[in-house]
Amino acid sequence: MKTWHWVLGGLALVMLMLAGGYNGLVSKDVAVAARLGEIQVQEQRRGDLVPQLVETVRGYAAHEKGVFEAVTKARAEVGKLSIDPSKLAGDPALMKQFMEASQTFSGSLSRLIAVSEAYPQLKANEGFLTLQKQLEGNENRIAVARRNFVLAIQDYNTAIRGFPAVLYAGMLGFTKKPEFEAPAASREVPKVKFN
Amino acid sequence: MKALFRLIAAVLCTAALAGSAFALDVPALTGRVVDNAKVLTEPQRREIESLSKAIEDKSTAQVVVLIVKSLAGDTPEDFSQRVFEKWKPGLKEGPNKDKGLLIFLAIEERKVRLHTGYGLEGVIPDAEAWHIIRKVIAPHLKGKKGGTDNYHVALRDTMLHVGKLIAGEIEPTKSTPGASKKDEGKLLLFLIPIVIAAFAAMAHPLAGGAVGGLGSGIVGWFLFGATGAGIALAVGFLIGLVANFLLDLIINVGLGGGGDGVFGGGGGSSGGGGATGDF
Repeated sequence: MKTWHWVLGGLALVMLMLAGGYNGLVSKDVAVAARLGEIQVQEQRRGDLVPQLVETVRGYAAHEKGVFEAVTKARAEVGKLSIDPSKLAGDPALMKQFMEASQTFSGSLSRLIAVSEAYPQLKANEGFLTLQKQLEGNENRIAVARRNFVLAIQDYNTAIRGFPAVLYAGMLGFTKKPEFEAPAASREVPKVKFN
Repeated sequence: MKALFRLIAAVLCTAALAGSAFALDVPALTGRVVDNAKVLTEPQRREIESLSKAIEDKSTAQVVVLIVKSLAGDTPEDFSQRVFEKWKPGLKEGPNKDKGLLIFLAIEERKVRLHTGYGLEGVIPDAEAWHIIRKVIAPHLKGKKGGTDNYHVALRDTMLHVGKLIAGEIEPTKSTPGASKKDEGKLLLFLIPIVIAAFAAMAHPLAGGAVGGLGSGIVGWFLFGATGAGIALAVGFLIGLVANFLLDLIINVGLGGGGDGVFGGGGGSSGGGGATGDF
């Protein structure tokens, strides 16, 4: 076999590998946006759930104004930042802001639940217990969505720095995305006991 | 043929090992009901498994049970999610996808969690999961209050309850998942040239590469036409080069642990829905 056969064959192989690598990067990039979208869906749910919860708690603990205000404010903040996931994924600063707002929201909610622990009548209210359980499930969903998001970003960042992607990733517009740590506070899901 | 099965088994084993770097290891999926705390007798365990099977036969939904002695410091939510990600109850695709449910019990911590897949979040919302824990499960588990723990009845009633919930909403459509499975079956054809390549590679790695590449190319052509053949040829060649090593690995690893081996997760996923409670 002539040399140029080998050269052509080799080139074809390299092209195939590059194409495969490029497709891999695209799908990882899309995965990051999709994971971010999941967080937003869960945030939406949580945003819908919270006013009802606040109203129920207010019925028993009207004077805990500071807590209600914090929750309402945090909810509005998250709502304001909830824009198109692909746009959000493309803007690291905005993404960071969104993740922080979501975190603050979680924190204010666990304070709300902690406060309600002090009101036995509230804790005996079936409607409140159901809402609390729904919120608890939602907090866990958000924690899972955040973790998947963090992992998707790590996966993407690792891929663009690997060989041979590192040679062309930057040229084709695959830039490093900000990495987040799955925050420990998000794991502190409010608990309720029923004995 | 035996080598082929071994190859499949080894691939599955490797996949299983890959995800086990966490604090508390996810147990192997040896059946629909995995009772590592030994709180059920064997006939009881089988009865609950058959209830789970009845649900799957009717609705494609997979309900699995895991009972552990202790969480070893893990949270039920985190651990359930990890188990779910590994066991993957529920179908991977089709209109009935992700209809999986994990019923998780930690005996020492007295924690119970129902962990729902995406596809069951509608039928079993978190509030409903909690309702089941409180009204169906907890009443049978009174060990803490001086009574006895009846895990058998608790789980049996839960299965029956969950089965009714699922049956009330799902219309089973079995055509789509069947079609996708057929495609996966076709891909197994690629194992044939790879196995032959492994034997060729014993003589010389390049021989393995040549056989693997050629064989895969032919299978690729047959399945996907010219483009597929090109890719399959290149990939087959590379795999063929190392095929002998792979074969050694497989023979050493051998077939995975027993169990009845009939049940496997369908590939469902979960976003962490469900509820946790104490008992």
